[in-house]
Amino acid sequence: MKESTIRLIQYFTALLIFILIGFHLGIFTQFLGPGYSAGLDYLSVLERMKNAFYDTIYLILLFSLLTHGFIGIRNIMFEIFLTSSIRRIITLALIIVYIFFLLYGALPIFYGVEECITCV
Amino acid sequence: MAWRNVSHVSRVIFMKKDSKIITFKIKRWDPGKGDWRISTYTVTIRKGMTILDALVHIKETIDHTLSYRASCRMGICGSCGMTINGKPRLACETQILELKSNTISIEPLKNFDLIKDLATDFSLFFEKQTKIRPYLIRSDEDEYWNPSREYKQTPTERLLYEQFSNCITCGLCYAACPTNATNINYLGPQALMNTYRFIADSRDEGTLERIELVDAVDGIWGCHLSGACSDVCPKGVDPALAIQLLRGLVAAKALRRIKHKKATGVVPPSEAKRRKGIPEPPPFNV
Repeated sequence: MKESTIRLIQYFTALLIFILIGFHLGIFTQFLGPGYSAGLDYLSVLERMKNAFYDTIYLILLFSLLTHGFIGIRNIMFEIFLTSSIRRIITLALIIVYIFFLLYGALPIFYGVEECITCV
Repeated sequence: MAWRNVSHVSRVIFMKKDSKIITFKIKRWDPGKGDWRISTYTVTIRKGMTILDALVHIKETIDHTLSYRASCRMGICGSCGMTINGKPRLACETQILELKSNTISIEPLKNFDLIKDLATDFSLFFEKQTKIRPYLIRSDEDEYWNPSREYKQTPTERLLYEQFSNCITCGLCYAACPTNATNINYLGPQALMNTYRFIADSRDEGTLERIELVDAVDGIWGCHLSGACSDVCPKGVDPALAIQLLRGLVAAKALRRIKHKKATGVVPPSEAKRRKGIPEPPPFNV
């Protein structure tokens, strides 16, 4: 993948994060959600987990945050390690860790949905 | 006689008023020992003297072993770049009194390999400059190698790259760049600015090739936007701006918004008629 494409992905995910974090925090206000304390209530969270819309939002947010963060880490690592072979190893290692965190992060979202279905 | 005495006295007063004793602390690289040493020289300087004048004075009258690079003495060749009071400057364009300091420190340019004392090695700098193909790339091979006329360019088209063509390759931007300090592979502000200079030139057709060359972590994406390059440029060129404009072009290419640029052709023959009595010019050659 070209460096410009990677940078465009980073800019695009930054934009997504900005919007989705705004929405995520907005849930804890009276305007968009049930308010701060009610929004953090366990049942309220489970309620949201039943909602496919929120699940989609959280998945996109998770993907955006991880992609943006890992591209950033890669850039920092590339400034420390200048050899191309080491840079390839770093990229590969980061992809593996990225996939692990993506699956690990997605698991509670899907697990939450499953649990809610069995509750009902 | 009385007039002469008055004149002499006034000249003495003038000299005293406009001269100053300055201490130069020069950080010198000794290639034999592979180590630094600091030499201190005290020089009486006059108004109008530049750092280069002082260095010439030191070399001629105090220490013949002092090495530095200089050539034109008028800010055109870009040879005498050095770190003066912590900032990369051209020695020939830096007025000593304008520094407003009784002690002036002079060091070789940072981010360059050293040769001796203040002289630095520009090999890598010019290697990077060569990488970006700093010349017009055109598809009309015949016209390119055997030109018949000048390439056409309007004043407006020239304005698009004019300030970037003022670069004298002095390397001050390269020395000031924090990315160059940590990443030896980074192309540097001068090479990147020159890339944009040729892409913006209406006579050039190498846009896509050059974008491929600079679209890398060690290319335009290595820039941290510190703007130190533009701050130190002695010719008022803004390499930071060029890098940002270049980033825009590279991003546009990634979004498939840029196509191959067709360069302007050659100037058509003039239709003006020669007035009577004016002889024919000699045959055109380049």
